[in-house]
Amino acid sequence: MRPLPHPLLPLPPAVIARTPLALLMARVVDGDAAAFDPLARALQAPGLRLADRTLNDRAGAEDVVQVALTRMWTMAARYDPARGSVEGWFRRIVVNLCLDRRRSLKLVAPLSEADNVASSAPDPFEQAVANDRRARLDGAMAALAPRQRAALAMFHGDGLSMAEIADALETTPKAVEGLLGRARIELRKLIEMDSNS
Amino acid sequence: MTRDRALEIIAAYGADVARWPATEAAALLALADGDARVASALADARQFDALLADWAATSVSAEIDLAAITRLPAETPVPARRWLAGGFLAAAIAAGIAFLAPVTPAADPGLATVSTQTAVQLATAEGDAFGSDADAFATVFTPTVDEDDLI
Repeated sequence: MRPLPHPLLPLPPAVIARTPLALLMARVVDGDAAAFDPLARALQAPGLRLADRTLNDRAGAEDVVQVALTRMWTMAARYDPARGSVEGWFRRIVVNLCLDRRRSLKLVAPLSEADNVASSAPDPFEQAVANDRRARLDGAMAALAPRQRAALAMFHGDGLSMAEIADALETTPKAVEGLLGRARIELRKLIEMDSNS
Repeated sequence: MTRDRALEIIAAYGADVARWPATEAAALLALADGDARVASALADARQFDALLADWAATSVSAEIDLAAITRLPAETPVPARRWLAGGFLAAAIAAGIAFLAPVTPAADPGLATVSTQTAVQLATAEGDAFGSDADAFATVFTPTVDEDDLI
């Protein structure tokens, strides 16, 4: 691979678009704002999705991603490529911010909220059933622990391995296996309880 | 592969064989062929997987002001290095005091003949063989290339 130009020299947009995140991060560590832009854009969407699923709160998720990206810029010098990928580092920042936020807010959304979700289905019956199922799932998700939701989001949404999820949650792959198993069992119970009530 | 372990894997990983631990996937599939309970758990998990994938994949978007972020000053590693350097120097000074204090010329002139090759010789009866205390300190505690880099 051709070496990148010196960090102080601006990169042409075409080069930036093809530059792996690790190399962009290396330039960000050197204070290159032009490299931060594409790096942040690449990480923003998955970070937002993960934060949204973990917090179950859209506005909160936006705040978390804003803070996570800010930390990524201001604390770039702390990034150590030997300890993992840029994506993994960013994920860990997002998850930690989400869990800290949940701890401080102690938000609990009642399961009955699911009953108030209106259907906007063009097809009256099938879409209504799908919406109802989704609404019950959302309601059950709200009752799960944020760590469980984070693990589910990373496993089912991002297709991450147990090891990658363990890295983000700062635990072991075996513990993640247990976390996911308990989360799925609990979700099923919550959905069934809601269906029977 | 026991039934309990099979159910444990299905509970955690779902029904997608590709996501199961590679070393256990074949045994689990074989067990599911002959065990109705495992097969049933697998069928349930398949439906649940679809629901979870839908939940997890729904995209969200937001406009983050990246320009505002890059206007903030980035933290540099210099302060941390200064702390390290400060710690190193403090440790070096403490070690130097402990090392040199008991063998000052006034305290024990006889030690001048003990050794001429070790660092202890820095404080001899004849006085400052290496000049001032600062010179002696520098001789003993001159940082290595790595330490210098650290500082």
